[in-house]
Amino acid sequence: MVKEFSYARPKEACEEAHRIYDERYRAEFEAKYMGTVIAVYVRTGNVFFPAEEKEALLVGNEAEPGGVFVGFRVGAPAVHAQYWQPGNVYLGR
Amino acid sequence: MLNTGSPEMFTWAGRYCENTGTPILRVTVSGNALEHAIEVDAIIDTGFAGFVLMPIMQALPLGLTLVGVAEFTLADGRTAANYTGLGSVSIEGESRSGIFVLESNPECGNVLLGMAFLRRLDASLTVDKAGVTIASQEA
Repeated sequence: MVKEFSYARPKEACEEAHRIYDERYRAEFEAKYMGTVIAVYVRTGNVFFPAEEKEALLVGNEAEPGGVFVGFRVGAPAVHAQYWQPGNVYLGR
Repeated sequence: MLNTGSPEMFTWAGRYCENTGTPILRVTVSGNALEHAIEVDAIIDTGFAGFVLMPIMQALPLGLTLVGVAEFTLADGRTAANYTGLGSVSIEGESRSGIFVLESNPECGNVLLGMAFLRRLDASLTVDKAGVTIASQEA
């Protein structure tokens, strides 16, 4: 039975993407694609890579319209590090 | 702001925010609902790796296409899941499309232009006492 995911529960989708990545891709991808932002299609576990100037999330959405995707940076805990904090307090690097 | 006229050649001058000293560039952001495109003073944030970050409540009227969710590491080390949508940034006829991060924290009121935006422009960023300038490589 295929588990369905929804954008209504983004945290659940992110957790599933982490699980899929750890189980299937981490070892291979971190040897080959460090730093690349990929899109994990959480319904099937397939991943999409950026193509030419198109981000992986867009590539995934074109291949599987209506699917739930999680952006994921290979080798990093999150897709982007954001140094700007609410309240205009710039903490720097 | 000055645009050299050619779609491939541009020079945009930004300014510093009087209160915070952060570099600011006035841009137009849009989604599918072009009639709802808005002009904003966006902060050029080279510490943000993404394309554009903006508050979700400001982004919704633009009609961005939802393309996924992604986790972001905040300055205090926390990780937050945010929706992402496809949108465009334009300045005087020059436009680039990319993934917008839709910040759901109600305390976040800023629009950020990140490194992915600057890289997409393939332009040079100059910082001096007067302000900031983004110019195409040929300009």
